[in-house]
Amino acid sequence: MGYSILLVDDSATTRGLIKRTLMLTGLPIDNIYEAGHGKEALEKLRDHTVDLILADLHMPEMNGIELASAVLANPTMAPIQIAIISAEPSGARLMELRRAGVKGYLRKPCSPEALRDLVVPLMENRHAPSVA
Amino acid sequence: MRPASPEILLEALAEALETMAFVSPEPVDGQAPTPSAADCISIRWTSKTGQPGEVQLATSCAFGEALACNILALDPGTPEAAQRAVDALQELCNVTTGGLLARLCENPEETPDMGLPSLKPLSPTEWEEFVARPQTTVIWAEGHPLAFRVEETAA
Repeated sequence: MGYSILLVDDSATTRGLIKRTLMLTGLPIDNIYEAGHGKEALEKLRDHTVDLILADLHMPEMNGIELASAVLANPTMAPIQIAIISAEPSGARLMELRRAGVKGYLRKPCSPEALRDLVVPLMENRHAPSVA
Repeated sequence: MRPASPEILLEALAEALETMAFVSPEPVDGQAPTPSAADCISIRWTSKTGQPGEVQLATSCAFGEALACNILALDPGTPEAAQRAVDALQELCNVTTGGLLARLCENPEETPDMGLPSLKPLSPTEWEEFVARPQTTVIWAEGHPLAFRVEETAA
């Protein structure tokens, strides 16, 4: 069984790009779900169990930090790993992200190698998937 | 924050084009042709420690489609390519602005706030006015003209 990942970004093009990049990492991935903003992501999480959320920072309706806070405040969703992939330079924002429970940050544009380096440690800390 | 310049913006734009879409920008010799249909995408930023500003990218609608095709491995001329054209340009502007700000921030504590992209269709006359303004650079990208500039705005 591989990983299930939820991509949250208001740009469908970016979701497509990250999806393609994830496929190039060679990671065992069973499902990739998509949402256009934080509220839609929470709706997806009612119907699907995921290991990892990769979310943008700036989105309409609910941003990445608000999404992380909402997920981690729910005990049934708290084991989900959350990382932010954003165009915005990190700097002081990293502290705010860590306080919200975000475990990783990557600045766009990201290469398959950088994405793999972000995702693998997060998944290894959660559980080791049994590759079919 | 360092002051923004066309050279730093070009670096950020080239990085975004190459990483997102495997597109290498090329210089324009002479005057670039005026596209029959063009869009201008802009993103503003604010900063507590530096000058606020705005990045503006203008290009033909056809480049938006070409960009979407490269990013998402779509076939040119498909309805999906046309549907994703504006979104692809907005994301290019978003990533370029982020890359520019990363280069301008000298202190890791500096965190400018980026806004969401806004879109304005350009008529041929508006395109010509855009490229004629000072500090505007025009490059070729996949055979399409791509004009851009960065402006510092009032705080």
